[in-house]
Amino acid sequence: MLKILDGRGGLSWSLVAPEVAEVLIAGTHGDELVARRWAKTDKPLVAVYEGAAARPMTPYTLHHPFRVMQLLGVLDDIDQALGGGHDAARAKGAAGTLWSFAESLRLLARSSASGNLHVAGEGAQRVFVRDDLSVYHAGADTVRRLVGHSLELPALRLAKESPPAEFVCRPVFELAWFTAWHASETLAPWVDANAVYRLRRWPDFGLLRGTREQLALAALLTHASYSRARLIEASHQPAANVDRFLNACALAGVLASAGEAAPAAEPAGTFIAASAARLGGLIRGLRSRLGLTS
Amino acid sequence: MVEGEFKIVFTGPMGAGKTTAIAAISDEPPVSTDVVNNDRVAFDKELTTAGLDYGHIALADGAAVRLYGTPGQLRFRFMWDILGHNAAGVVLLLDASQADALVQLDAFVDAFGAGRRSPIVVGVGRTTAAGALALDAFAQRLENRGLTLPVFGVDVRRRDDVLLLVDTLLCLLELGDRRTA
Repeated sequence: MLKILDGRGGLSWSLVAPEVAEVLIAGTHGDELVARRWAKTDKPLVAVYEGAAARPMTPYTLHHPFRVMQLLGVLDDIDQALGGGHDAARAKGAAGTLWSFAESLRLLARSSASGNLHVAGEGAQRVFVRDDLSVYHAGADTVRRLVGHSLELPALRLAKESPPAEFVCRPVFELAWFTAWHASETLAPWVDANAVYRLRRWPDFGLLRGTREQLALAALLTHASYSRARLIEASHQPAANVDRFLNACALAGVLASAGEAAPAAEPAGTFIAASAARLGGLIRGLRSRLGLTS
Repeated sequence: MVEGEFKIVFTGPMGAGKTTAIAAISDEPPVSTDVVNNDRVAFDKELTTAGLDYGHIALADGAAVRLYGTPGQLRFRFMWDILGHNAAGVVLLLDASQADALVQLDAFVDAFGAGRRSPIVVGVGRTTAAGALALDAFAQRLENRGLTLPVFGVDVRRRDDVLLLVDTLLCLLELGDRRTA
């Protein structure tokens, strides 16, 4: 692999022991214990998966067999996420502020659930996450801030303590969605700008109180697969909106890249309008009557 | 579909909240064709819809949106086809606390064309009731079939939740409309 990489990437990479490596690469046939230990580090992890296996819930993945340029592309993405590699300390800090909590949440998804709680933050601002990714526990004020702003939490670590009794228990889906939604107006490191995406399932907008813009983006990704650029074009929405939406869908686990193995689909999971009649006027009129104008 | 109007159908099993949802957005209280519920085992309420519920929203330009609620019981299944004919969209309401809610999901989704004839939006109520199925189970069931339909946890007693379902339907309709332009 070193020979392949030599001289062709944006940076010079060398093969070293996992303990001192800055980037880890793990395959599906590796030692599960080792992989779990690696998953708990702050180091970017490239997960290699094969065949019809589901794409691992990690920011960086490669589907085996992969081309050399795909591997170099992933390594370049990691370099970019870490700030270009010119000032490692500064870059690590910046990436940490933006994505370290989100990345740790994604890494948690790839480790086997054993009923443990993981925690991020300090004091009343702590957020506890069950490792089966069913629920999280946080103070009511933290939940309010999560919905409205970026929480800027550090990476999750194994909790030695239990959540205080006054903490509320909420679906992890909500935590993942709002963490990614508020983190950045540009694509997250794990969302490939050139990939083609569709929705695996709709986000629960009953819980998230989705906006019209989010409903429209979800509707588009239901009907067809879109690259980021095509989604911006088709939705007529600002790039920042689309990037936030893709980030949130990806972290919440409802986004699939078009190349991923999908369940044997029944003939077309979307409708084709039966009538060619124009509904635009009726739709606008109904929205206006119901107070749904955006 | 008659020029200048369209039809939204609210469907789902008995007790899922179809009449309540229509009442939340209709101009007038819905007209219901209730009968005495003789299936108190399935759902403990005195009256249930035998024929249909009907609500109406008048639009500014004289156009109208007609809201139909189907009967929930399988013995009135023939009414689903009649009411579903030429519907612009379907709101399927389910009760997560009913033991056979996933079977009902399949039955109603299939009866209304699995989202291919017209868009379907699924609202699932009582997800926090003791012993209720998680919302995830409904989404997973559809995902396993390769169907990507909106599935939201809702309480149709809240008008905002009903509006969310209708707005989602309109977003899907808008897209279909744009594609046939």
